[in-house]
Amino acid sequence: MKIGVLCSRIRPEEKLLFKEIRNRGHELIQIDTRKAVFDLEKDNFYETDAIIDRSISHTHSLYITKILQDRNILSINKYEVIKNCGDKVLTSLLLDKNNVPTTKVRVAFSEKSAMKAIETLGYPVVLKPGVGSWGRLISKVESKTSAESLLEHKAVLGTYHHSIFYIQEFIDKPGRDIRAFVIGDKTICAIYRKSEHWITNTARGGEASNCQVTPEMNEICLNAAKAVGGGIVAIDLFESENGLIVNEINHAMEYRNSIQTTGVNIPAKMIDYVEEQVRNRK
Amino acid sequence: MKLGILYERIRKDEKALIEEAKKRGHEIVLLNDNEIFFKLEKNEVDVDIVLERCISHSKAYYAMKILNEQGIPTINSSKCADICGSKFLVTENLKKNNIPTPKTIIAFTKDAALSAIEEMGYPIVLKPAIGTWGTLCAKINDREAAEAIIDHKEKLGSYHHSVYYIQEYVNKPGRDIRVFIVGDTVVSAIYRSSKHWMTSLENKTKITECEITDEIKKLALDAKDSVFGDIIAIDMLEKDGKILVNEINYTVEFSKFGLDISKEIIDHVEKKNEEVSS
Repeated sequence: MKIGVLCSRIRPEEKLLFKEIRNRGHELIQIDTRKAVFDLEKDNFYETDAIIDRSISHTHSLYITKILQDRNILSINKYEVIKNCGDKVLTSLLLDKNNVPTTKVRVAFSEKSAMKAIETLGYPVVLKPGVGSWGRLISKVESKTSAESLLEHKAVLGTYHHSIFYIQEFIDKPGRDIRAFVIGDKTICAIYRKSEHWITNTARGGEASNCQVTPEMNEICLNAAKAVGGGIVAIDLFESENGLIVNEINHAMEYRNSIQTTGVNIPAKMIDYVEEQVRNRK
Repeated sequence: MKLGILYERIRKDEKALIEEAKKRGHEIVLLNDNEIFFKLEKNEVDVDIVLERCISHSKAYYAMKILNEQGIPTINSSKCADICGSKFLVTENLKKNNIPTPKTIIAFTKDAALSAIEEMGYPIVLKPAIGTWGTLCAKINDREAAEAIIDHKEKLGSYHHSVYYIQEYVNKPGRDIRVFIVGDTVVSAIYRSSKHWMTSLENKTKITECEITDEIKKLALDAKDSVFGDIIAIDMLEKDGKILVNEINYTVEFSKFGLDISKEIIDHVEKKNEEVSS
């Protein structure tokens, strides 16, 4: 089959995917988002059976998957999934709506109401940009004075998404969190991410080790994936006093540190899923 | 009914709407988007329905999205706001429904945008995919201007400036048409005439009545359906005797055009509330 991969910078993740696609005898069509031009009058852009989104820009992913999906091209992940996962407000809202255990979240639209929301939640809280990844611009707020100063900085930064305040309760996790990989209706593997820093993201120096997927974890992960629309996603979980809770969901996850650690060939599982989706469609 | 008004400032429009609703005995709950905050795990807004009258698109959209997912209906719906807040999504939905609209090209980098513009031919209009009141729209007449503007956009560097929304320039007869729709009724249409190419610039525009022809009516209702709208205002352009749908607005301003459609709006809110509660 013909498999398109939407990408810009080629990371180890993309190289592994390309190799997997070629090894199986499929035709690989690389779609460089930097060169792509879409005349919306046209009904057809690429001859592919499916495209896999691996763009590092959330905005570009959104636009392109929408355009291709509207023209009946199978997109993995789906536009809706990318939209729901790329936006923390939408993710949390859908997790709550589907009764998936998650953190308490408040959303406010001004410094003043954000302050009120923080005070009712109680310190410490975590302040995140509604859209963003790799743990960037996330702050743990310990007191009223730091809350005031942070909110003021955010307000002055003043871009579109900074007027949306995403305020999350702080979970006192045991120096690690869990990242679980869900493909279709299976949690294929999981890793612990350990760090001295409260942000345990491996892109920020967190250390990875294998984590056994328990039935409890599997159930929560599948429900979380379903809540945002399914597909290929990575679920970040905290071990809280009340059991596992979902923190975030990623729609175009990095996995280079997880293949060796878990012994699971993640890119092979991804292509298995793509093949299955294409077959189901035909 | 218990009617929530989601707003940022009480302007002339909001005053008229609140007055009309109160006259009919409805209870008004004022929800200032800068004062309220939302608990995502539990709805705490005690109203039957919410009429959105915000100024900021992002505040309006997120507030309505949260309310809708928590079971509170809003007018318009968050689905409509999501589409109308993005010129790209509006164009996609119009094209999907075969509604005539100007040619549009999307690109993501300076080089790709430039080659797309050259292919389309000058003049073109470059617009921020998200934005209102004509802010940062540019009519570009030649390559030099294109390069300069794209350079500036690149340096502005914010999230939404990494998308180039490139539209054919429609050589309209010095005016555009704004059509007001409430529910299934086209309630009014006006011409906005100006010497400026952007006929929507408020201080330069002359407003006159526009006859609601069958063509305008059909286009307006089709366009409304394509974005799942309840109460919307549609901007249309005349091109060689044909009418194109240009943009769609979901928080409809009216008094500044000398209109009062507060009765029609509250009628529609009542109707919608009956539909969802039955």
